[in-house]
Amino acid sequence: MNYLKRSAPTAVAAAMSLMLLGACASKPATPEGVINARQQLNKLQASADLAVLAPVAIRQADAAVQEAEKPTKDQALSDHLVFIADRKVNIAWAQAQDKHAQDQRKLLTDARDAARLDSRTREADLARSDASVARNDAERARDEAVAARTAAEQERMAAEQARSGAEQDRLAAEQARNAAALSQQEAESANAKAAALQAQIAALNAKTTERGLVVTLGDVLFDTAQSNLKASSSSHLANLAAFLKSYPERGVIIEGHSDSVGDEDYNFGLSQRRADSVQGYLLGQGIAASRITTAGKGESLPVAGNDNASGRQQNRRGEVIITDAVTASN
Amino acid sequence: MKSFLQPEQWTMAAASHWLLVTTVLLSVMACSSVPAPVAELAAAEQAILTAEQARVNTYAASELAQARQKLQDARAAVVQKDMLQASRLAQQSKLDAELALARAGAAEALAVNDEMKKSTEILQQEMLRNQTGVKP
Repeated sequence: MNYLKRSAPTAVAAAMSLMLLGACASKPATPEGVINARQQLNKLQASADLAVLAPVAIRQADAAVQEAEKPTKDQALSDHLVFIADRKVNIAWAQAQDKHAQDQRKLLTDARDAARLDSRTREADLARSDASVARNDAERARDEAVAARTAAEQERMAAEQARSGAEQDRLAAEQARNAAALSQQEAESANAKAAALQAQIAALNAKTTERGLVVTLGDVLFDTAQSNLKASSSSHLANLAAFLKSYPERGVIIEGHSDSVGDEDYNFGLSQRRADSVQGYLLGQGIAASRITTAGKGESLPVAGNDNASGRQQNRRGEVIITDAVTASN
Repeated sequence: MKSFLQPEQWTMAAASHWLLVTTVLLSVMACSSVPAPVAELAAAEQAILTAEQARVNTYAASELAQARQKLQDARAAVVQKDMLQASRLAQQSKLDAELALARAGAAEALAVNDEMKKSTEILQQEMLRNQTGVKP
């Protein structure tokens, strides 16, 4: 109260001076530079998602702008306050943007992780699919290898069979050649035998008749009414024995014949005895009895007339028929 | 004031700044009744240092350069014994430095986001390519 009482005149004077000033000076205007700062601040505050991110900076910016908006005549002070307001508004903006960017990073991280996961999943699928393809390829290759091996085996077997067939053919050809050689040898041998036979037949004075080879043993072998062989006949009969030894498959039929002199029964007996005598000789030479057949024909089969000595001599004879086989004795 | 700086953050430049400021202040105080804006100058200095350490140069070089210029002007004003101007310049320097820091932070955050968007797009593109059957 004391203060008020003492300073009352001063206060009155001050009030008066203020009124004077207000009357004669133009009212100080709001600094123009702050208008931009205010607009920027309003924009930031109006931005719903940014305003909440930098509340402290915005409050400080708001205070600075209000301070700068106060009308003053001090131009330097006004410029200074406008500068401060401008910087604080810009700082608030930058901080809000920084915070906003950091907030968005969470979403970006999620998006990138999702993309990465998709990519990995995709890669894994691809890898699996690749592996599956590779497995299929491997299986196919294995099948092909098996098939190739089988085919090779079959070819090998076919080649083996062909080789074996060729071998058989070769053997068959060999056999055929051998057989041909053998048959040729046989043929040669047969020819040789035939030639030998012909030679011996010639030596025996044999004649080929419809009954076979017939060797006629003339009466030179026997004396009249005798059945014993003459000693001179042995060389002739020796040829026959040799022939029979050379051809053991052949047999002989020995027939005795006589002339018509004397009793017919006697002649028959004589011819039989003469045949037996030749047989005896052959048996003595080692010819088997089974190969020899004898028959006495008597005077029934004359080869000449009995009315002269020459004819009777021809009729007194022995005939040896050489048969092809032992069994063909008749 | 020293508490703003950690001991390991002391550099020759900072020490010389402090020495200059102190010398100027002492001389001013000796022959004038108006005190020098010590606190404002120190705050500006600190803000610049913080911005420098945050490697603001990359994203907000012009703001930081302006802050340095204002601080220099403030010191010149002290020498001129214009303490009011010195105080205002120091305050402006500090705000320039703070704006540099804030803008650098925002720019860096946006750059990181852009990088992430790009990598996501690349992944999606690769995936689309893979879906068309082209093997990576």
